[in-house]
Amino acid sequence: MINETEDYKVIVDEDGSEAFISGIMRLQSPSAYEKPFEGIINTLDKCENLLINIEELAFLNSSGISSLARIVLKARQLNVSLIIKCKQEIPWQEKTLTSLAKLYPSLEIQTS
Amino acid sequence: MKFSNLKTGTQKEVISLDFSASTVTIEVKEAIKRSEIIESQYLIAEVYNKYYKIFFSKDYSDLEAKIEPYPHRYIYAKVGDEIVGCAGLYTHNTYVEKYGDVSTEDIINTLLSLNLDPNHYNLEEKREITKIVSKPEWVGKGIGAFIWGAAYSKFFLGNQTEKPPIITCCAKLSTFQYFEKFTGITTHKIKSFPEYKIHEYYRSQRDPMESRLVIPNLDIPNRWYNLKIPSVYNVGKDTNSLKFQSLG
Amino acid sequence: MLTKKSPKLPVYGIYLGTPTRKKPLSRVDYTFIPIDYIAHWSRCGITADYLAEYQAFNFEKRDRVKNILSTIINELLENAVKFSADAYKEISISIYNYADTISIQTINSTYRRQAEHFDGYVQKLLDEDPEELFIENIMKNAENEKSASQLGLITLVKDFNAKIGAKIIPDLERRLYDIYFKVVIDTNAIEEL
Repeated sequence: MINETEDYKVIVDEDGSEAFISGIMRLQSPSAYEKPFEGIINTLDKCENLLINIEELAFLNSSGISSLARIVLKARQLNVSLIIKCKQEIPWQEKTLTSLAKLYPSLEIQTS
Repeated sequence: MKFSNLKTGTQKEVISLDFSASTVTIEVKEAIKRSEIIESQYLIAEVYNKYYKIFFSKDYSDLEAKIEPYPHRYIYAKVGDEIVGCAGLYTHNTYVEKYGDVSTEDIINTLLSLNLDPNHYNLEEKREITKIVSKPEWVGKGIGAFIWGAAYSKFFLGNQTEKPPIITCCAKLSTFQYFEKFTGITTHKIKSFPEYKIHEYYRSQRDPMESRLVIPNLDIPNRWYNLKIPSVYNVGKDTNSLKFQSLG
Repeated sequence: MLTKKSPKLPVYGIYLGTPTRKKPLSRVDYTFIPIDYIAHWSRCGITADYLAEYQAFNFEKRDRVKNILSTIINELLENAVKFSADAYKEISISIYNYADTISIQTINSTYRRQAEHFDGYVQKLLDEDPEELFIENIMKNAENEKSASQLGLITLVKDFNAKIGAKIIPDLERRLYDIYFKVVIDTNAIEEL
């Protein structure tokens, strides 16, 4: 499943175990993220493990961080083992994920 | 399609109005030049954000996220060098199809219920009048109602060949009533419009939204259908009627 | 505090200190009207990117600094646009580099209700631990859908050690409130953030 605009791309692979978010996401409000993140939210119902790769996501505004937190909370609720892969060169990524890990201690952060 | 800043129903301020003293002279045109399109888009964005907290996007829309798509064409009213009112037209991807769950079958059923032959229409081609706005400081002078009428002109709707396109619109009941009262343009319900977050400040339980159909030869009075555009008009409105006169 | 009874002025954080007399080394003042950003939302991002890239020339790790400043400026711009009362009343953003600090200030004009809300929010932000506040707001957002996440300013303090300040100045004639918000970043620390 692919959700794509000029600015960003959200892909959930066919077996539903890996997702990629890339580009720039600075949408107007948390609710504006519902559509692009729908594929990831839905795949959580069907999988036991999910890897989300955000290495190529240059920016995510605070509305997006709130929406990413919803994904983490849903993974916690369904006990899905969640790995988020981020990039050391993009400062907000690791900082955000470290805070989000407080919501779900078994969230694994992989930094490249 | 929404009309944003007209107070419908109770208009206490005017009891009787001297028509000649309260007219406004407007130039009515389709926005063709880039400058006209930008000015129309900004007016729509201003009014929709002010009243409904809505944002616009060129390539993206999401009614749950309060992001609207810009229309494809615009008609406007200008006073002096300023656009004071405008309306948009979707020439494809209409609101009622995209968000209103209106299918070709729904349209055929509405046509049949009006004893019209669906084969006489080009069901593949749709037109939808949308985003009728006037500048907040120009509200109450009849510009919105005039633009609603002008938007239903043959000129703006375009392409009225032997198989005319389907003309739809979407608004709350009070808006349809208001415009019918002042322009005489009638509409036919296709179905109720689903509830979306984007309309939270527009619709209400008592004033729900509907998708409607407009049939030119049934619904649009000649004075609107054959309205000369571009042209200059004197427009005046009192509590019960809208009057206008072409200045050539 | 916005009530008449309270004698306390709505001035918080770094605005309470003595303003520096030092001349800025670098200074950009950018003024715009919110309608531009309402009409095309992506303009927040391109403005933030431009202003950040402009500042980033002073640094070795340009991409890193650009990404940090763009993140900060974008949050400030988005807030100023969302909470402006009048689509045609100007918003200004000023970015000054005083060698040891980079200061970013926005001024926008808003309604009373929003000014009151902002007032409470800033006081919380100054008094509480940003990490805890972040989690608290995430949990609140998860419970009920909001048009704003309320996380933007928290992340600036939490992630970038930003010092913040706010002033709320009533414009009695127009029954609006001018919101001044300032973020100060340590120039010597930004590349290592």
